[in-house]
Amino acid sequence: MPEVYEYRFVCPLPNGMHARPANCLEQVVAGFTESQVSLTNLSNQKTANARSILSLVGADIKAGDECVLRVEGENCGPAYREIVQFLKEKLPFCDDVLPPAAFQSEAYIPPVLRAAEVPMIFGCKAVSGFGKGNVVIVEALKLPAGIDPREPVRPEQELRKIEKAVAEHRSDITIKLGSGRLASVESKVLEAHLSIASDVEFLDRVRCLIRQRGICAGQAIIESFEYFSGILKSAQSELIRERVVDLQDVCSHLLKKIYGSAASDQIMLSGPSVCVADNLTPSQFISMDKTLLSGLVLMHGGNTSHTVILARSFGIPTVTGIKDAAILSNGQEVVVDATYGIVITRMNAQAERYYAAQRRKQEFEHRYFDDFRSKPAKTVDGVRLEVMANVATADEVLMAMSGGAEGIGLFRTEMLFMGRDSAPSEDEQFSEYKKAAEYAAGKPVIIRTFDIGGDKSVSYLNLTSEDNPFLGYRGARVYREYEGLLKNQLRAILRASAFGCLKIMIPMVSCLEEVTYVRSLLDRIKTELDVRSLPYDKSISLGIMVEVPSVVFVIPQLAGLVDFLSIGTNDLTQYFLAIDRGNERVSALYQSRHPGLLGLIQKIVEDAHRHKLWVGMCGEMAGQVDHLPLLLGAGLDEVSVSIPAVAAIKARCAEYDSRDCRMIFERAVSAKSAGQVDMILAERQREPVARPMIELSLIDLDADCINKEEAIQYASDMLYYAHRTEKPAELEQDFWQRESVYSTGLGYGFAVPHCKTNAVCAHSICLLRLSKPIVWKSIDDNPVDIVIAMTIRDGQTAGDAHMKIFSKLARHIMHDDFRGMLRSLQDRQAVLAYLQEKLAL
Amino acid sequence: MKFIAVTACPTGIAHTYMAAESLEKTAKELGHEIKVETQGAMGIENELKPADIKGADALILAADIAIENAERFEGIPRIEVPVQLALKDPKSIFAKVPNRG
Repeated sequence: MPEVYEYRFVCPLPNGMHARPANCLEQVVAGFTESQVSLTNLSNQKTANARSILSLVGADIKAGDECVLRVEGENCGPAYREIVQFLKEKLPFCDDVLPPAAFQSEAYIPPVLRAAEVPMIFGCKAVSGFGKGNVVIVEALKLPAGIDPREPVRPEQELRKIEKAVAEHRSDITIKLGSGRLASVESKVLEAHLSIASDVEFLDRVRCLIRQRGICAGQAIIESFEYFSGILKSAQSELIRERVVDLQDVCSHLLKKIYGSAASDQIMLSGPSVCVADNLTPSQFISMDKTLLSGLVLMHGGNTSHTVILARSFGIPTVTGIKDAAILSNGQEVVVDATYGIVITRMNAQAERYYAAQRRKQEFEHRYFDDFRSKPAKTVDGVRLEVMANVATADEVLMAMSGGAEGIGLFRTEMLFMGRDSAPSEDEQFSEYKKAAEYAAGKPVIIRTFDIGGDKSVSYLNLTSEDNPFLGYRGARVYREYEGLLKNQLRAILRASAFGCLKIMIPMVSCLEEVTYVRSLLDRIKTELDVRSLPYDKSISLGIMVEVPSVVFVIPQLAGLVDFLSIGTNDLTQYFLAIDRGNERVSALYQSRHPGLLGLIQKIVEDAHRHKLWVGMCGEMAGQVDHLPLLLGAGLDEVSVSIPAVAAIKARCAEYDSRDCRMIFERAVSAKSAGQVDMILAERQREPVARPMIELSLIDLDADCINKEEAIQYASDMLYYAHRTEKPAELEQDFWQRESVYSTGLGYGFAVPHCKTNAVCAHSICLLRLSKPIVWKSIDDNPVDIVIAMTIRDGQTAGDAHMKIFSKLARHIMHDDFRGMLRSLQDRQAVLAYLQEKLAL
Repeated sequence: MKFIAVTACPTGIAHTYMAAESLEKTAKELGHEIKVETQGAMGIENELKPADIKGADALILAADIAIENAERFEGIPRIEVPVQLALKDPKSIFAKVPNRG
């Protein structure tokens, strides 16, 4: 007689039944193979098989939920007693203390967009810009091309494939776990994977689908993934929802075991698209038609992932870390606005007006930059700064050239090596480097030899995972072990050097020996090529990345060995400041304007120049226009930046005097903090420029604004088009900051938004006559039809003669006749003349 | 009556001067005498001197921020209002009964 026992209990786990406690329960139950054990969540009537972690987690049991344990089978008394004992005594302690919830700061949304009240989801800004398109969800799991899920199969054969794949995958994990070289976080993840790969419900479902529907192994895995991820995603606990990633990982490993890595990475787009993916591989990114790609939405992938680096290079607006991406569906029209890290899920007319205004500014900027693209970058006093581009593929070289780059300051070659089963051959590399050399048409292309290891691993190199990969076996350190690989690459570069101007750069150098080693290898290959009478550039330059602080102090010794240096600020900052910027708790301390770091850069440039070495910079710091005075001040010969930043840097360069920059830099180096450096930069960002306070371009007698938000944006944009501000969005914020004290609507249909700000280069007055009156929350509650925006260039305003004009204007506004004239005058010229007369301009 | 006044607003760009103008205009209409000191972005202008203060019947303080050199006005009966009132309804300010200073 089968026995049945039931036990009621209340879930004691503060975070509910997530993977870890489910795992503990499953292990207890696993000891009693004869009994059927189930758990029912009475709050939602979901029943779970206690032998399956996925099933247990899927029952969505939260703290305080009442549950029933049911044990059934011959002689199941002992099983029942042991499980109940576990539930009473051990389950409450199975939970880990949760990491503190990541601080979700309220994102800043421009007022016009906020007023539009469109629904949006939030993420992190990765590549700024905005774009509209239809959602294309990139499925996490796909059958390889050529496998038709509808084709009939032999179930027995498919079942065998599953068993083999699962067994292999489990043994892979067990070996890794046993290696003793894993960080504890990694072990936990692998343990979770192991439990999923052994999960009875999951495997039963896969087998069942094959037997009953006669589908192939891969399709069964994909459908089982969809089934369980659907359950997990609907869970209320975030911890449970996140398990989808583990499940996906296991499934994609199983697919690889069955089909090899032939799984197709091609993504076809038709029409403007916003690509939504959990994670996107670089090869998937490359396969997409970039002219149709309006934006990327990634659930994972930080700022430095390869896909994000590529997206930056192609200028594709990218938002990462989106948690609510599940609400997006294929074909839905969305706007990705990476400037603010948002995805707008349903547009309306007001939001469309906002983006139309942004597009006008973008086009204006593009036309403005056109003038600089074709010219070399020069400061006001004629000092040259070479502005080059960072790329990862030869195709980007062409884009870089049309974007105004004076060469390629960093060609990352890792892309060639990653996401494949074997290293690229010499010929494959040769044709890529040759293409780069030809596209650059005589301009220099600095090719960095492979920097693998650290966070970038490849399957065919035996690089085991490390506790501290950034301080580990990577870059030049692995070259001796993989000499064949390096020789192939050097030979490919040398051969390609016959077709243009190539240079070689070694990454992650920490001592001279690494350089002498590569140098001698290079000399040997040259001799070899001489023997074979293959052409190459005999005077090809060799340089190194300055990323490890130790090489900063051996520059004199390097002088005879290398021809140039390039400062890689991302790693240099991380190593010099001892900050892992992926670690949220310290990432705020990752400051590229740390005076100590600037001092280090000063030393690098001075020592390099003393020893006649050319020195550039290719890290992220080089691409930030606000840093330009520091870079010019440091005396760098070159900066290498993302392609879209090239023209902006060139244009900005023309605004500075190198002698001023030198002074700014000297002050920054001796500043007390990064905050103080920011202040030095802000006050010297642009000297106040002598400009009339009002001119024709600052008067609009038929401004089309539908609310106060638009009017303030309109005024800020007018100042942008008049080249009085480079940061209209910042200026807008300054206006709003004043507005938040109390409304500047002063009655009589007049509003006088104003601010003191660093965002404008000169004191300015804008006058808007609105085509339709708008609400401003004025003193007299009447709508506003005249907006006079006053911006005061922050600085020494006391005693400033120009300030008198603002006070004069303010006083005039209090008089009926003045207001009447501003309303009735026929054209802009007449308004300008009237103001000039009244304000004695 | 003989009034003295100080106007001051948060940025010292617009409301300080608009309020001053409004108070001067209204005082004239109502037949009062007035001298208005502005404390704006340009600092103190049209400064109230001991002689101005001594002969005043009342002080109008139309300020949203703490004013400079407030000790000058000790003992003068005063009317304290937000700057905005000087724009919205300046006449009502002159109708108020001053508090002891």
